[in-house]
Amino acid sequence: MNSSQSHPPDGDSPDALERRIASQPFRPLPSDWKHVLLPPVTSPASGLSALREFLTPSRWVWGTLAALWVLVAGFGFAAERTARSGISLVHPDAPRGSDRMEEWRQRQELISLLLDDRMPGDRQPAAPPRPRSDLRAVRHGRRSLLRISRRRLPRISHES
Amino acid sequence: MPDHPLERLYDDHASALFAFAVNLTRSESEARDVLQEVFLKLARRGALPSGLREERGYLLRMVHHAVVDALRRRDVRSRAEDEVRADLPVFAPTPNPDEQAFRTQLSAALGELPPDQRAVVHLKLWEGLTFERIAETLDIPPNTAASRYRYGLDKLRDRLRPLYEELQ
Repeated sequence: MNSSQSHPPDGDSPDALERRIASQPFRPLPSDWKHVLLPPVTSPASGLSALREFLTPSRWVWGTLAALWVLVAGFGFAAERTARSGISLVHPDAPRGSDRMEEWRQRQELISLLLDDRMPGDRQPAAPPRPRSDLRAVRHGRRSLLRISRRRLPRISHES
Repeated sequence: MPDHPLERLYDDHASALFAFAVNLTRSESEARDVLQEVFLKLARRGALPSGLREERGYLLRMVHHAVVDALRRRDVRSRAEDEVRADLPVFAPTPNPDEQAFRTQLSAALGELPPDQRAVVHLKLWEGLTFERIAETLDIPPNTAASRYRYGLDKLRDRLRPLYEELQ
């Protein structure tokens, strides 16, 4: 039992062939594998590079957003300047809002009057809708009448 | 100086791990997959376990586990590729023709060994591990490691003896 627990000796001293085998170098590790095999490592000191990595893939999106922001800011600045100087952007001869509303209301009234004048004379009173069962009965009655009439009609003999 | 512990592990051990993986898989692409799996696991764990006696042995053990998985997947795929892979040169090329002939024959002889014997022979000859350490690395009893080594080495001797004596 003791023999199974004791570790085996590490072999006899290696002979010349064994030493020669052991001295053969394996093919070298490809130098470009390091970047492939090692997963990307983030270090806390690389905050600027992390920001750059965040911005770089969507450079166009960030550029468009920045341009829009500049446009909106410029427009806001210009609007503020005109408000301070008292210049109105509306033409002085243009009708005011209340006048436009009054004109629109008058047009609506005119249209409604024109429509009301046409309605009583032109339209026929609509017949009240009939239930479907009546329609079926009418169709069925016509068919049965046709059958009866065909049976009762005397046949014309070609011999006579 | 490498900035990250993982980079330091790579610089210190990747060549040895690659040699072990390529000797067992006989395929450079599978060896790369094995190493990638190992370093990905290490990155997920964050660090090596505390109280580790020997880094190299621990990493070789990880490589062996990954190789066993890869060989199992390959058995499912196809066995015909193994015969082709047995001739893959696993040693560095050399301009010396005698040395090159020896390396070619040694590579072929290693390829003919069963993977279990090849793993033990590799760890004993090229890593210089004791049978006890080999047993820990491969999850086998030390006596099994010793017997596998003797069987494997005898086969290599039988195969290489004629060329070796001719080159002497």
